[in-house]
Amino acid sequence: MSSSSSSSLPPCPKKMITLKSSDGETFQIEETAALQSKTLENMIDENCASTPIPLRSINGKILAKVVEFCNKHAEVGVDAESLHAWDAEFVNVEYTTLFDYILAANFLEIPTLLDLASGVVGDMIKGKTPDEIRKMFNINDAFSPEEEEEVRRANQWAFE
Amino acid sequence: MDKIPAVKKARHHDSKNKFDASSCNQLCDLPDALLQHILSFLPLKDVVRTSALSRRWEYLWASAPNLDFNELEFPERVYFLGFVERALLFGDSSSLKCFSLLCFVDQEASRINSWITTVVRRKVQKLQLCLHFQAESGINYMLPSHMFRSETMIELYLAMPCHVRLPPSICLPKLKILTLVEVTFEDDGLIEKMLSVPSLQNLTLHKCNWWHLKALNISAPKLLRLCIVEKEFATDMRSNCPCPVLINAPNLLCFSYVGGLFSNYAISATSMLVQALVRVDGPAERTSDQFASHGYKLLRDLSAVNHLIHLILTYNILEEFNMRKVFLDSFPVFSNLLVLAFDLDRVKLDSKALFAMLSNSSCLFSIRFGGGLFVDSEKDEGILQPTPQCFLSSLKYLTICKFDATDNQLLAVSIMLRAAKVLDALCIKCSGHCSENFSGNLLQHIEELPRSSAHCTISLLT
Repeated sequence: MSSSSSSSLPPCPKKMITLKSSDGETFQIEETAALQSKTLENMIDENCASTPIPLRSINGKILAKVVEFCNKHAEVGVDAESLHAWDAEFVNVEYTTLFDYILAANFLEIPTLLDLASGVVGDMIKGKTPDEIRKMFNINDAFSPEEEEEVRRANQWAFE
Repeated sequence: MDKIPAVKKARHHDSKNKFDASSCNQLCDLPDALLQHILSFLPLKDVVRTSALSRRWEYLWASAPNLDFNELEFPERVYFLGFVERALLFGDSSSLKCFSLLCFVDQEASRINSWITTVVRRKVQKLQLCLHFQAESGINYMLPSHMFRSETMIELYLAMPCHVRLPPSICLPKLKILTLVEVTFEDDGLIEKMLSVPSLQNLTLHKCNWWHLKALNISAPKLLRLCIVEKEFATDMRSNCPCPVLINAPNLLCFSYVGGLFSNYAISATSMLVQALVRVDGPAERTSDQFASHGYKLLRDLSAVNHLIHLILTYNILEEFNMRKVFLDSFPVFSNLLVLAFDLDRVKLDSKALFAMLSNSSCLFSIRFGGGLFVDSEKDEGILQPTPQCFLSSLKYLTICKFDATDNQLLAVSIMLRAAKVLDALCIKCSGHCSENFSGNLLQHIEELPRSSAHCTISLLT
């Protein structure tokens, strides 16, 4: 699905663009698939996509997955149900990877990926107590017990 | 909720903070805007609980660009009122884009109006208000006048089952999308100012009440889409002549109407209209003449539009013409109509009005019978005779849905196949009753029916 390096040319002369990750890996992606990213679309429109595009905030591991996502979502003739299943599998990863997807999707402006990954993180928060959420996501700058009590009191109904 | 602004906001935030993470290990490494975006996927109760996570999270939710408050999500009114108040007090005043409020007004009219005024002053772009009233308390309610003087508002959704009193000056220069639900208009001419603000592109009137007006004028110069869902006309008022609705929208592309044709709708100066949907409920008691006459005038106005290429109808509007020779004799001519679709009801192929409609739509390319097609009489003599022009030269696609394979539905199919000389494809969508009514190979049976277009493909979908 994702071409891991620029070693081989694509078999047919489809228009390709090259992306370069923060750790120097390069990836080729068909222009039609790249158009799901508003950021890349703008660069293509402004003819800035003829040379490899450096993406300094996205490492090779994540960029490979993002390219895979864009390719899948650009495939024609995929029915909604199987795409949904594919998406669910795609985000079945460590939450730290989800954060990376969110940052990458945000930087590249890929709303489908951003919403997909954000929704999964949301689901992790849903129904949990503040303590559970803090533990799960390593949130360390907690309130003092008195302060937390005050916050809880203000919105008591939500903690019942 | 609108997700896209969150994305833009986050980008802005990134560049400002020189946010540069090649890998992100903590939830808190995400910028505020992205955390708020995650919160937008959560129910309110979960969102509020995040306020106890840490100092950074305490008012994070209140600064989200989209705030959505629904009183029904709260166990008690007092919690709700305090909650909205705090959100508006502690939120970051620069970021608000969309504000949505569903609540009971009752004794808190002035407090709720101050919220609305606050968000308008905070330059809200999208305002959604669903205001409810207990019994008669809505009678004296007035929305804050600030709401109608916003330089930034792009979208307004207002649902409130009572009179809407408007201030004498309305200035909403950016308003593009306006939806009014169950609102009763005042007879003071101000509603027409509201409906003709200069940037308005999409207007929806859903079960609003205008019966007591002399006429309702909709004349927005930039209006592209107009959608009217008509409120049922009160039985005790049916002897009165209901208020006509005069639509003057030179740039209208898409018109849709759903209702019982109580009002008379007059569409003029509309040269751009390409798609119209007219989905009518059958005539209400004692309104049959009025229904037929309003239906006829509406179709006539639509037929006068040169660019109209796509028309979606319910069959019952035609059914009423069958008994009225004067309408049949001067049936509107749809000279450029390409796509005709019937919605909901099963269409009677041997109806005079359908024949008039097909004969007067000479370049039809596709017809869809969404609710099915049948022949009412026992014999097929004279049906579709003389063959309408479109069957001889332009009709390529025919779709028949809700097909039960009864004899009178099969007869309708065979008449259509015989009449259509240039048909490329017939698609039949079968209901669950096909096998009950027809034993044997249905596709083979239909393929063996005599047809005028030898190259036509027939597909049967179950």
